[in-house]
This record gives sequence, structure tokens and C-alpha cells, in this order.
Amino acid sequence: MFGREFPTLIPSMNIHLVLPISLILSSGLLAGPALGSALSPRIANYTIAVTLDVEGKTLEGHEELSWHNTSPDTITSLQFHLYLNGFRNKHSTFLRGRRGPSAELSPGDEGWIDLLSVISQENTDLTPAVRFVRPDDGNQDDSTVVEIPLARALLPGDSVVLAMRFRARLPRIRERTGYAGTFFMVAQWFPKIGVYEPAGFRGRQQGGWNCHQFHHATEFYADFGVYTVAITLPQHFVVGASGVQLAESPAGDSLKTVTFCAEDVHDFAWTASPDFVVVREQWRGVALRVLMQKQRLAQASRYTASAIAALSYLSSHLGPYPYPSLTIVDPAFRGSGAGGMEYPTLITTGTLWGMPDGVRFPEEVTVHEFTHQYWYGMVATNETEEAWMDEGLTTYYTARIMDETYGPTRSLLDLPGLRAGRGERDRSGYTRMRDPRCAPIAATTWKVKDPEFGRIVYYKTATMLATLERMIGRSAMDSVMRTYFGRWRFAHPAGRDLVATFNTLVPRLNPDRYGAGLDWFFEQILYDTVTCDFELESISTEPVQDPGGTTTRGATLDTLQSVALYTSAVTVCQRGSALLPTTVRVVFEDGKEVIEEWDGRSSSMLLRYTRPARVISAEVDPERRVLLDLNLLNNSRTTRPSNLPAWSFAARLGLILQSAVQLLAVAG
Amino acid sequence: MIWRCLLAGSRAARSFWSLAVLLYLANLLVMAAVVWILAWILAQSADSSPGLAILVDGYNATVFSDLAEQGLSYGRTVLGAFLVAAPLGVILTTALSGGTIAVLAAGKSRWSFWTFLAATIAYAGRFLRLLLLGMLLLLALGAVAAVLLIGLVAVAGWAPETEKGLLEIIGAGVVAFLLCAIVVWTAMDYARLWMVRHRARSSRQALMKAFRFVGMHPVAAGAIQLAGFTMVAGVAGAQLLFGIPWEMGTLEGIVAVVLVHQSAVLLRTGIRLGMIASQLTLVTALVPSGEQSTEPSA
Repeated sequence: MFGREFPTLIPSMNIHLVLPISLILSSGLLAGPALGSALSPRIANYTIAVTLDVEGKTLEGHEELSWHNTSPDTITSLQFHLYLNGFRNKHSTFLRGRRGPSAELSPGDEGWIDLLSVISQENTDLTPAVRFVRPDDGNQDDSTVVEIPLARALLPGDSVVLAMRFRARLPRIRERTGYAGTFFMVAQWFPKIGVYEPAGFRGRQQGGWNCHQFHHATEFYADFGVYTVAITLPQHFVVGASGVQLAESPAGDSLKTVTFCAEDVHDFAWTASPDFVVVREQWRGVALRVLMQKQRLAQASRYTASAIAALSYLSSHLGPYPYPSLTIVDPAFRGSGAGGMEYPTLITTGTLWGMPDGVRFPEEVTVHEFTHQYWYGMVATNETEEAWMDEGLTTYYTARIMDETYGPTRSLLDLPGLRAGRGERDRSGYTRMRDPRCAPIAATTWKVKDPEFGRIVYYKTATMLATLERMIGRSAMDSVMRTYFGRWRFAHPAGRDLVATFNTLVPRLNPDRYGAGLDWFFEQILYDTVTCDFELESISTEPVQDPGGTTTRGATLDTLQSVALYTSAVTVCQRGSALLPTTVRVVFEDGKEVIEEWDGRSSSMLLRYTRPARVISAEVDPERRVLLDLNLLNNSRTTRPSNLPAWSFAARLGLILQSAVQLLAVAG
Repeated sequence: MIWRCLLAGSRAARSFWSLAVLLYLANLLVMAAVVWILAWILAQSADSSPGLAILVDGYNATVFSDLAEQGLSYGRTVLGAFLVAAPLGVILTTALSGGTIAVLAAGKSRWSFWTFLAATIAYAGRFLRLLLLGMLLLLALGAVAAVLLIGLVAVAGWAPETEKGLLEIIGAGVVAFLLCAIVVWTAMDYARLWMVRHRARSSRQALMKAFRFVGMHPVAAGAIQLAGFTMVAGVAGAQLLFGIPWEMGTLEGIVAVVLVHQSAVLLRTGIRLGMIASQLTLVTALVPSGEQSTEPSA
């Protein structure tokens, strides 16, 4: 389709190199913080000049890309994402993946991007050779990936510089980008090169481009580099962007140009609105800039406090946050669809006017999106293929930070009579799925169509890691994750790399228990769909007529005195198909407690005891280590059930109802 | 006049304390039934699980989450209990109003239970019809308010730029609806008085008369209603300050909350009784005794 349309799109193509970029480069604006010591490979480096037409919701851009071939392969063509074309028509792969109203595209709400020209550094016009490719589904209506054949093959170690002109229209806010009134969230807005993966990289068999089409349930993957972006827009607009601001200068006709530079990042997003109120905060050399909606200004401190809590926690548990800035965007009410998203050094959050302090939604979103700076931002896994490596790890750490900062049973909700913890929510997000077996966590993300797969990616991964943490211990978990982060930041690891880190470190830290590594755990929970549901099936007790014998494992004969003896049997079982070890606590009527180990390799286990006291209760996994257990209520059983909890619950509810009904009955 | 009515209400609340206790016991009876059913459902759900014991210590999202997974949805349980208890409570209170007004109208603090019961039986049907009429009126009012609100918000020009604007519009709509609802509630109060005083049968006619009365004496009727609502809200506020039942983590705490809570319910019943007595005083003072119903006596 692109091959047919392209000539008509650019009838008077300008093949000269872009002037604004040259001006920026020659003006010395790149001095200062730019081009500091490199933290990342800096493979894809962009210099972009863009003008925002506020009325037309369009962008006119000039992009200069310098791309370095770090692979051992000779490259003959480059592939680019044109993400905004996911909103070009309702038949795009992105919108085909949607269901219900979110699959619709009202006239006038479209978003698109046209690549107007591509010129190589030898001043060769590559434009006529540009063509759309659809590597994932062959959907001819999808135009989110283009391939640009190079005039000259790029040898290993060589670089290519391309100058491109593009024009884009922002959609009405949806998912991650667009406009709402005069609020603009400009993300995934420029031609963005894919990742060239050589053979062996992330388990690849052959070298090639990893440049997927834009899918509705997946996010992004790109190489690191330095972005220098000059944004021209009306003077009264407040701008926030990835990186740090280098300069601001008038651009005539009530316009201004604001230039930003972001180093060692793999994307660049920006936002603009005349209604932003800027709030600044500082934490150990990191400048926090919050762009607030005026009517929610009172909640700015909630954003900064939670962001600082996350900065502090992750800096001490994983490694330092190396960037000098963090921009927090509070989207406009009508632009709330842009909220809750992460971009390098810029996050969008979300709240509502009058949000009670006990509803910790703004804090949760802020912590979550900031935590992405570590996994999405620095470790930079492939979100299109292995979303769990970013979203799942981020969700796990979000719960840790929230629970530690605000308390494990009230970190999400802390209202009179209504409390919930963030970690608790993660577990229930998984256990209350319609089908917890719908797909493995590690399934290739863009291929899974089940609408509930997101819960697997976020909540099952987080619950898996929380379970692992309880099994191997918090300090071992911290050690593994710190090592993984340090080893793989700026390096695009695959899921097997995380597993390998566990398998290397955990046996060293706990050779007695996990000497053989943790493959048995990951193969079940990460790469398979098995479920776990421990159940305390039964407790039975009968008096022994002739005291004397002991029975199977765990049995103890404490006394042979002339007291009544009882034989008790406790049966535990695994209702799911997971083979997970755990413990069983058995309590006798004389107060004695026994903890039994269960290796979990069979679907049930029978414990028998002959003692002068009956078993009165037993519980599987009494310390609640296996949070993957789908139902914790069936983990325990008692021979002396108490109605007290039920009455307590009912009485409390009854008291509230009594008042409510009495107030309502004023009509009677 | 207003002060005299309120004083009369206050005296009546004290004199007829035994009537307040009777009405409170009726309320308690409904609630006890609801609590028993809830406890039974919960005990059936996880009868021998010590894990459930965590409920004694207060709210625990994990326990509720797993209960929900077993089919006992916390939200559905609360909603179901409310949907059963609320109509029962309202119907019972409405039905008992006949006896209450008759006893208060007689003005003898040494009242007879049988008088109360006879009047309750005599007026229960009529009052329930009146209740139905009032509810239909409120529903219609609510529907009109909702249509207006949706209409305003749906019109592009009214679509607010901020959630604050949206909340203000919704808030204004709710306040306007509540003001109208208070007028309907007040009229229903006076309609019941009218029916008992004049032994009227037609609830529609009684409601019309009541609207007319409230329209003619809005300040006095409004002041009595406002005084009653303020006192009820004050008691409810104090109750909240003392503690929400959910938050109490020990059995002793729960017992303390139950006692305070029941005292508050009893106090509010007394306030309601005083309100009815005040309204009765107002009606007696303002409506000439010669004005009679055109309907035949009950």
C-alpha cells in the first residue's frame, strides 16, 4: 500500500537537509548536560525539530537519525515504527485487536504519520524505495512499520545518518497519545527505528530486525541513544519532556522553541498545555517537575511524596537512578486516557479533584510509572514480546514500595471501614481471573488474544515473584534482583536471563534447599499454566483401644501412660496441578503444634498421629508463602469450628445497615 | 409558634419514652433477623476454616477476596442484605406510624399498647399506600432530575472541562433533588397526621392536603423538619466519631460499639417521635378544628 500511495503523498518533496536541525546543532545548544559519559550503547541518536499546530493538532517534523551498526552483520535496510498510524483507520492491527467502543474511531479523531522524505548522508534520496511491511499479520490496512533499503550496505561497526521529514496528526487522546482540548500528550510521534538483533541476541536463531507492528495490548522496544529535540509551539504553552531543558527562545509570531536533551534513553515523549501549573521538588540531585492541572494543585505533594518514596526505595534496593530529572504529568480531565503511562524520565499519572487521601490511586500510579524507569526505562526489555518482564516486575515492586510506605493492609485503600493493600490486590487480580490458565506468563505477548492476559502479565507475574520472595527470603530476592538489574541495565535481556540470574545466585545463597536451582519453579509458573490450590481436605480422630503403635511419617508417641490415646489423620491435597513444596501446621488439643514439610510432588499427603491428644486444627502453608494459591480459605480446617467470625462479620454489617435503614425510614 | 412546637416535641419524646423503646425494638427485630441470616450464610461458606477467624480482627481484603471467589461476594452480600433490610425497615416503620400518631394525638403518657396496636392495624394499609404514592413521586422526580442532568452534560456546550465542573453539576442536581425530596417527605409526614386526625381514607387526597399545608406554612414546617434532621445528623456524626463497627478489632471493642450504636438508634427514634409530636402541635395550632375531612369516617 505504501508503495502505491507514497508518490502522491509528497508531490513536491524537499530533498535538502533540514535547516532547523542544522541551526540547532550550530547554535551550541547541545552544550551543557548533553553528550555526557555514556551509560548505554547509544545506538540510535536523534535530533528532531518539531512544530506543533495547536489548531490542526498536527506536527511538522525534521528528524536526523544517526544509527550505529553494533552487530556482526551487514545491514542492507532499516525498519522504522510509525506508531501513530495505528489510529489511521479502524482496520489497523492496533484497532482490530480492540473490542467494543475502544475499537471505534470517530471521524476527526484519527491519528497518523506520513514520512515525507528520507535522505541519506550521501544526499541520496531513499524516499521512493520506502515501503510498508507487516511482519506480524500481513494486514494490508496496517501501516505502522516501514522498511527503508539503504543505498549502500552498512558494515559491522559503521554508522548511517538519515534525514527525514514527517508530518503527523495526533488522535483525540487514546491509550498513550493525543490531544484533549489544549492538552497535548505527544508520544510515539516520530519515525522510530526498530532494534536490529544479531543471532544469539535474546535467544535469536538468525539476525534480523525486531520491529513489530503496533498491537493493542503491547508496548515498545527500542535501542538507547541521545535525543535532542527542539519543540516549537505557542508561547503561552507550558512544556514538559523527557530529559532536561537546554534552552528556550522566541520563534516569532507568538511562538517559542524549547529544546530538550535526553541521554541514554530509548524514547522521547513530551506534553504541552497552557493550563499546567509547575511544581518543583528536589531529591538527591534529581529535579522533579510536576505539571499539575490547576484544580488539583493541592494534590501535587501526593505525587512528589510517592515519587520520592519510589526513588529512594529503588535506589537502595536496585541501584541509583542515573538521570538528572523526572517529569510528572497530571493529565487534563478529558485527557485522562493519557494517564498512567511511562516514558523515559517522564511519567503520566492521574487523579481526580477531591480524591480522598485514603484512596491511594494517585500514589499507586506514580509509584508504578516511576518503577517503570528501572525495568522499561533502563533494563529495557522487549515489551512487545515479553511484557511481563517490565509490567510484572514493575507491579511486584509497586506493591513492595506501596506496602512498605503505607502499610501492607492499607496501601491501596485506607477509608473508614474499607481497607486494602496493594500486594493483596495483586494476588486477587490473579486468583479472581475467569481462567487463570488462559496463557503462560512468558507467552509471546502480541500473539495472545485473551482479553484477560493482561492480568497474567501484571498480577500473576507479581504474585509469582512475591511467592518466590517468601520461598527464598527477602534478602536473597533483593540480592538476585540487584544483580539482575546491575548486570542487564541498558542491555535488553530476555526472560531466560532473569531465570539464569535466579539459578546462579539462589543455590549459592541457599545450597541446602535450592542447590539444583529454580527451574522446577519457573518451568511451572512462568512457562506453563499450572495452578496451585492447596486444600486441607480432612481431619479425623478416633480413640485407640490398645495403645502402642505409631504410624506413618510425623507420628509421635509421646506417652505410654494409662491415658486415652487417639489416632488422628490429616489429609492435605493439591487441587491444582502445580508441584510446589510447602508446610503443614498441625495443632493438638493439648496445645502442641507440629510443623510438617510437604515436598508437593504428589497430589496429596496423609499425616497420621497417635497421641494422648486429638488434632483440633491443621493448616497448609500457615505462613502464607505460596501466594499463588488460588484459595487460602480452604487451607485450614478445625474440628471445633467457631461461629464467632461469622457473627462478628454479620453483626458489624448489621450495625451499619441498622443505621442506614433507620435514616431511610424517615419517610415511613 | 415554632419554638412552642419544638418544646412540645421535646416534652412528648420524654413522656412517651416507652413508645420510643417499642419502636426501637421493632427496628432491632428486623436487624436481628438480617444479622442472623448473614451469619448463617457466612458460616455455611467456610464453616471449619480457621482462616475465617481473621474476620474477628477486622477487615481483611485477602479473606474477602477468597470468600468472593467462592461465590460469597462481599459487595453482593452487603447489597443483598441492604435490599432486604431497607424495604422491611421502611415498611415496618410506616406501618407502625399509625399507632404512633394515634398515641401521640391522644396525648396521654400512660398509653395502652392495644390502642397502639389497633391504630397500627387500622392505618397500616392506608399508610403503605401513601408510602407507595410518595415513592412514585420521588422516583418521577429523580427521573426528571436524571434526564435533565444527562441532557445538560450530553449537550456539547455543557460538557465540563474539568472533573470539578462535572462534580459541581452533578452535586447541584443532587442537592436540587434532595430539596424536592425533603418537601415530599415533609408532605408525607403531614399527610399521615391528616389521615389520623380526620380518619381519612384517601392517601392521594391526604397528600394533596399536606402539600397545601406545607405550601402555606413553609417556614414552620421546614424549621421542624430541619431541627429533626439536624439532631439526627448530630447523633449519626457522634456515632461515627466514636468508631465505625468495622474498625473495631477486639470483641470488647465490638461490644462497646454495639452498645453505643444501639443507644444512638434509640436516641434517633426518640428524636423522630419528638418530630412527629412537634408536627402534630403545629397542625393542631394552625388548622381550625372545624375543618373536617369530606370522607366518611374509618
